[in-house]
Amino acid sequence: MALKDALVHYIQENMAAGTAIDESTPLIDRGIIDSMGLMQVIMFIEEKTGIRIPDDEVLPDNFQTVGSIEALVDRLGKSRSGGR
Amino acid sequence: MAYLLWHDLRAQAERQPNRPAVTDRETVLTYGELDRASTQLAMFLRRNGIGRGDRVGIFSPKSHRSVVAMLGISKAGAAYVPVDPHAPPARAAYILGDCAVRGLVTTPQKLLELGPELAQLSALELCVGVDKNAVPGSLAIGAQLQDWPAIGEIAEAALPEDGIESDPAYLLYTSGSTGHPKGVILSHRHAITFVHWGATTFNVTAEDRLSNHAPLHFDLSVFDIYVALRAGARVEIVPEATALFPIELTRWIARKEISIWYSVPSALTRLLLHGKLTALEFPRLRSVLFAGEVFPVKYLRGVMDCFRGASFYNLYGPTETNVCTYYPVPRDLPADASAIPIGLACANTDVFALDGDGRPVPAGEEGELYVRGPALLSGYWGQAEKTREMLVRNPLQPAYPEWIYRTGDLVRMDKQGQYWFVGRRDHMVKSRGYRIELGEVEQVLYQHAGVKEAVVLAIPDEEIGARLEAVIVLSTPGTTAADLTTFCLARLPRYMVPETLQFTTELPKTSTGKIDRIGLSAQFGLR
Repeated sequence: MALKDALVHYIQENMAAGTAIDESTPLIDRGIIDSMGLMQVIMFIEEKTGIRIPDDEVLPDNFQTVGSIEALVDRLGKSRSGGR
Repeated sequence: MAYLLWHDLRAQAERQPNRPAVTDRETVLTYGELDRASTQLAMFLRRNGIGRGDRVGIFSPKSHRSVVAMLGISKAGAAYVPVDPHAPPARAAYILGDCAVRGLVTTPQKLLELGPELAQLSALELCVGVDKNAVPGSLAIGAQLQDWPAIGEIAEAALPEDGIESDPAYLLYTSGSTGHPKGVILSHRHAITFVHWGATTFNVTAEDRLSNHAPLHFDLSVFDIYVALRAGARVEIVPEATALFPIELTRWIARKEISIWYSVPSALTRLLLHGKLTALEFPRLRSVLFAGEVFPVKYLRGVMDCFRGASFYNLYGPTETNVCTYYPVPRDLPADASAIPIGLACANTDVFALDGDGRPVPAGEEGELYVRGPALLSGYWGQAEKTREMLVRNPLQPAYPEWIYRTGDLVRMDKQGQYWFVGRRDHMVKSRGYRIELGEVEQVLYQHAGVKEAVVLAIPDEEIGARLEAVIVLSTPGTTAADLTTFCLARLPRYMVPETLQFTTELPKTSTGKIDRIGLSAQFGLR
């Protein structure tokens, strides 16, 4: 499963009971991710991809939506593999 | 003499109407504006027959309007009931229905979230903060809707004062062991006793800037807001999105020049571990207060090293008394210190430890902490039996009935007279500073048709106090952990939903047939 779909599924199941979410649902503005949820999402990504998310990337712009989280992980993955 | 909670605001509005009182992400409200807006709300509530003897709920994301609501409801003579804006609709509706709110300050989005649950709120007559056109006709709501702009047009007039200090000022709902949250009734006298202690003890002045990090349904916020108003200081509401991101929060504290910070320890630990505290200076920060849970000393030391100019205070007390003891943390904490005391009683408050037979416990021995004084709760809403169980006659005063509060916390007094927290005598735990009755979580799990038996364990955790783990015996196979998580999320706030669920075929029992929690912890929790 692509990270995007896995994240939507994970957030749906663990944080957004009752409201359907997709990759562009505003996670912060709608209060779907709280501080506990944010840590769980970070752990989920790190376990799933092996990519560590450094503290200075834990910023609102990077976690607005599943789409922006995916973009962050993409960028971190590329810089790790030496690309770009 | 200030004997109602809003009196301090009135005094400051006369003294310094143009100074900022409350700020949020977009708005700065001066003392004059806050006084005027809250009076207008009070007039609107009174015109609609809501006043002394009534409850009005607040169910909305935190903003300067929430503070207007608290003071406006209070000026009307009613008690306000702040509800966790992230609570599942069923739980929010339970709370609002339990204390039969006649009014509700909310937003269109929150009202829509309540949706069909609104039908339970038979006493609800009035909703503030919602435009009639913002709500679809399909939402069955009999209550009158009124938006803020219309209330802002009400011509301010003298508002006849109505209330005495023993009237309820607000109700705070906390986790209840029988499966539903319980409403702690706090009077004006309770709140003022605490607020006056806070303003005096921390020498709060009009130059101070207090953070408001805790949610409004959590009693830490009473300090932030009312101590600021008493001193004529400014309270800066931390925007929710800022609070989520540690580095943003660090920058916010520096940029806002916060001088008094108050939060649960886990929020400070998170800043220390992920917020890059060492990257910035905090020259204005002079006091850091923390409460709600035990602060692991290694993290406390770390935070103290980052906030070098600040004094640190450990505040202790359940919602039922707000803060009742406090301890100024010395800069030269002994190197081998593994814990810090909860300290000495606050002004106008008395605390002591009793044994199981109601006898005072000598220094060095363990006893249950009791609290006496004007800061005690009035009772639990609609729960006479629970009230009798927790507000008990003082066994040390046989000459007349005097009521004292039993905290359920086990403590020990050292030779210097300082109290130390030892543990709980029941199944209440703290996670991120929130009180959680494990029984309430278990009751929710039992409501699921597939669950035969359920036990919720608290696994000690250095960063957040405790993590919840549920051990489940299913009545019929097929129910998954994900099903149960979803079920819990619809009924409990997120911090009460077990992080992990494990299945087993039988729970170990003690010789009396009770579930063996100690055996279970060994088996599941502490691997």
